[in-house]
Amino acid sequence: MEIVTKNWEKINPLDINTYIRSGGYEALRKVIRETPLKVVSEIKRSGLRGRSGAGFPTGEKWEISAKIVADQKFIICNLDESEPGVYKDRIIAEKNPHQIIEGLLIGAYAIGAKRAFIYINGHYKKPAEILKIALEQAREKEFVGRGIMGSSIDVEIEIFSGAGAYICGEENALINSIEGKRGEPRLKPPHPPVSGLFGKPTIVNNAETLANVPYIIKRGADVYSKIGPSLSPGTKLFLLEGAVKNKGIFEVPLGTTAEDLIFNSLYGGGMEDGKEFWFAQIGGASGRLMPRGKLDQLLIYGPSEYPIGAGSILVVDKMADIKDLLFSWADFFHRESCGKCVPCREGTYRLWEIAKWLKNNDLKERDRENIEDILWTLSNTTFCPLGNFAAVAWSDAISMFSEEIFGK
Amino acid sequence: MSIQKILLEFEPKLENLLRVLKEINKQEKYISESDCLKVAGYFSLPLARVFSLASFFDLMNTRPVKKKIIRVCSGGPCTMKRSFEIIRQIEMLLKIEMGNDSHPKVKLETMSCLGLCDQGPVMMIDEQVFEKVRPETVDDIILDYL
Amino acid sequence: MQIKINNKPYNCESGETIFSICKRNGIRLPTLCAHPDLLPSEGVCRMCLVETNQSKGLVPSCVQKVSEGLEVRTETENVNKARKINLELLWADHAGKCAACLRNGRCELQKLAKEYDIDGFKFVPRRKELKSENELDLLKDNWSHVVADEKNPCIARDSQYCIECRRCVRICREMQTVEAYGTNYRSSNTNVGTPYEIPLDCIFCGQCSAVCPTAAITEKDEIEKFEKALADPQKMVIVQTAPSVRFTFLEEFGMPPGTFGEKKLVAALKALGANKVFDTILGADLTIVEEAAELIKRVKNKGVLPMFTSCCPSWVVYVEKYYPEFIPNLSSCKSPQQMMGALIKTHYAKKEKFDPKNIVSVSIMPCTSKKYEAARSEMKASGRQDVDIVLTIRELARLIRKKKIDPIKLEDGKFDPALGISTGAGMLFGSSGGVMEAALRTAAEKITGEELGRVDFEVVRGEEGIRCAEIEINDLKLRVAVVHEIRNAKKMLEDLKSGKAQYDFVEVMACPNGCIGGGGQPVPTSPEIRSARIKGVIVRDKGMSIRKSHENPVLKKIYKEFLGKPGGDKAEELLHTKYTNRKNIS
Repeated sequence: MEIVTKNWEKINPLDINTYIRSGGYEALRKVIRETPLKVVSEIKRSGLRGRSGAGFPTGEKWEISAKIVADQKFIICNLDESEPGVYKDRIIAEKNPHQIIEGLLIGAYAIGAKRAFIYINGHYKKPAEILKIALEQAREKEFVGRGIMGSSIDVEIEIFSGAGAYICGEENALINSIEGKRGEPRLKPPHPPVSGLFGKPTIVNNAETLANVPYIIKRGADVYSKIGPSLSPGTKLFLLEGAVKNKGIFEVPLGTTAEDLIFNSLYGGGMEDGKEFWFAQIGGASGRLMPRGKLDQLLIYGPSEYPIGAGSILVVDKMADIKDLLFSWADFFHRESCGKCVPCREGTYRLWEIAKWLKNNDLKERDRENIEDILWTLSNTTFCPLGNFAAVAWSDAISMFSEEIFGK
Repeated sequence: MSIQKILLEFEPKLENLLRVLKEINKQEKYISESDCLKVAGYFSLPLARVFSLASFFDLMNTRPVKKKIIRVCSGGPCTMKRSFEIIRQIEMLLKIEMGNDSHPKVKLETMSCLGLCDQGPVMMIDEQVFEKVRPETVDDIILDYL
Repeated sequence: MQIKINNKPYNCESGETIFSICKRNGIRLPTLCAHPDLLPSEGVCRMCLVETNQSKGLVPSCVQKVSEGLEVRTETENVNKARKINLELLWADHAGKCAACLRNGRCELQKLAKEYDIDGFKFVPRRKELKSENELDLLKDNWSHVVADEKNPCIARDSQYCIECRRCVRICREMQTVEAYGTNYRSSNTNVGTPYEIPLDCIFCGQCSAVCPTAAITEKDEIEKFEKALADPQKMVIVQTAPSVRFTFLEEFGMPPGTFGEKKLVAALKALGANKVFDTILGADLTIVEEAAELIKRVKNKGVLPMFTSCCPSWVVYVEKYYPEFIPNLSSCKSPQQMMGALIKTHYAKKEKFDPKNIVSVSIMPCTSKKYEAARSEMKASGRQDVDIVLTIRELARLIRKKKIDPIKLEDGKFDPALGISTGAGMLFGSSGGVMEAALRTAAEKITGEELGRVDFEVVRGEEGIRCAEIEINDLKLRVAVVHEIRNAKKMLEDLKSGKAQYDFVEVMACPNGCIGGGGQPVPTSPEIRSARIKGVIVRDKGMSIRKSHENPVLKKIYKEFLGKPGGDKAEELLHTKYTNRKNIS
């Protein structure tokens, strides 16, 4: 089942004509003849959910901004990623940039935004270059800019390149950084669809989410909503890394099991030779650890024991050193904490410190109690979810592999 | 290009602040106090506001970088591809310790994911990115670039 | 609307936070980042977390607004666990040297640590003093960066005490628009400080030191200098005390705000060994008489208007640094402190046959900025620095405690009469609007030549940021404005520039509610505390036998014997000053 990855082999990302020949920008042509609210309701009916983690229904989000009367509105494509193990949006931008641009244009039209941003990870130099060329070509073809396709609709798109901070993938921190402020989360409410960039209604959508939009418009919400489970329809890009045989990016319908993804020869193809499955981390550094017995869980958005996040799956084999991984997680969140609230700023630091001692086999008795306190405060008292994320994998590891970590 | 020239390329609107700082950092390798003052003046902002923004992000420096900085990705996928062995190898080769700043010329750090997991393990020396690094080959890379 | 807190019903309005309702009703909620002068709160410290029936987890009460049917519990097991762990984390990020700390016993963190039984470090402490700048690069990862700033003339900073609550950042940005502080770097390296670690570049108002929960930001301590002078038998130590501190002094010793403490203050200074204690109110009266004369002259001769008051040194520096085009509008009058200082080392010294070089002139102020003012190069009417040492009321109280003196138990003291007669007008200087009211009392009589029946100009009292009034004195109409906090002053200046507002006379005080809310006043501070202090001032003014500055008998005598007439040559030489454009120096 291919939606996002469809035609990747036929398309030259540097030539807009190859995208147009494979049916590109037809969806845009279709929507500008419709009313914006009709477009919103189509996306709403499709059941599309955001592809960056929380899985909020995209159409509902659009509807909030679309219904607000404001002198200015914004839509931002979130192409920041930065979660360890997640690089799907980079690949989409490299393979088929126009799919993102088309989705963004449709979104802009639907909510009534005249200005759109593509907020791209500051490290993504090549994809940013590709997107820039794609935008130039789209502007030449009058898909972007003033009077789209001869209509009276104006949408300007500009690229905004980040400066290296994981937290800026969070929508409020992202907005702050465009506004020239520190990438710190804001108090909610108000939520961005009501009051976002420069206090105006602002939609922030993940790049993969937007890449689904042209398909939904072309084929209709009914077709789309029948793919995968009804509460979480569509396909999803998963990223297989670690001790799995076939690594990389795979598009499968939501509702596929982790077992299928990892072991099916169409996808992961099982473990690397000589390696034995231990657990899989679902959803990046902030993801839970899935043991063998839970591999039959469906990977979906919505209520789930193992949230899929942005879709990365790290397969860990029994030879792997759990202490290295614990350090890897702690190191990441410690570095990326924005430093605003006490439990996250100090807690991620202390966890990192303990991870270091653990790695050097230098752990003291009292550190075990401290680990519990730190994980508890990270899970329960932080300003934004980054603090909670920092505790997820650690909490699972401590409860599942206490012996491997602390010895008998 | 002088700082003045960079400034003139951008309107003094807040959405250009980060862009200007990145541009200056690209050219000067860091954002000095005097440059920061010029930016603050151009955008009519207090110096403290501009500095607090510039010092937040990884891709900008607010102090001159005097050492070669070797960074190795500590993300999960790179860890599974033996990035910690690479770190140990570099530590042995250069007789330095990760995170410690006592070597006069080189500093070894871990870094956050660059989104190149499919090309991992990933390492950087200053701004140069190295993909698919192996513990066995890292010595050659380091010695070549130092 | 009604909500339940700990099973008891409370009335509240929509839009209120749980925290503010608890505070109003005396329900204890700890906080290290929320402050009544910094609303809305930002929820940084996570100390005020509570449990409610409307969310799964803990919610920060300082930002959580009330809603119908809300039930709050403020002391559950989880709430206390959260507070304890987060306090432990902060405690290890703090110097923990309480015994030697300036804020010992008055520190919000210390208070909470005691309450939650935190003794010793559960985590390895991270703060350490650096001996030299070279050590910066050698910092082992366990120690975070510590900065001590001694270069600002009024404010001292020591980041080993800083807990990154951001109050200083916000007060400096939101109330004063100066934004000398920033939150810098990220993750555990996050620190609150100045860009590039430059010395704090500001207007010295000291509001940051008034809201800081610990000793990370304090007034620059000059107790030692004062002690040394007191101990030197060669030196004549002459102290003056500002109008407002007599209403706040006793707060430092447990009395409620607004308590009139003049007699105890004088007694304590005498007990410390001060040779003479004078009242800055005489300086205030002089300022009024000179300022009224200047105003009348400007109005009559079509001089530069509006005229701005110049008693507040932070306001003066603000104009010099940010709006130098308004320097001609600043009254050339020195502040009461500096008028007194000039008189002490000239007129008084001569009369009493003291060698001015043996006089140590000390002032007790509500203000950090006065330290800077005293050190300005223009302030040498006597040929040397007119005021040698400026102590905030906090420093003085600290010294008194150190000497184990209990001022409440002391017998009442009295100002030395030579320069120590007070008027109600001078007393008013303590709160915002006071200078204006005092000046109007004098100006009105000078203009009309008649004695004023009415002395209260209520229109200029109050607590709004900018208060305007039109005062009619005979056929003269004066458009006056009273402004406090720099954010309001900035707005006033912009309105003048754009022509949106026109005034003849404007009083500006940098601190909230004027000197009564000064950056050197006792902590804590809040709008309620300041209101209580103001009430003290107004009651006292009403009870004074002399309520107009120009009727101060000592002042009259000084003009007769020494100064000549207001605005005359001698007065000009000793009591007036000049200003400098400092825009490009900053």
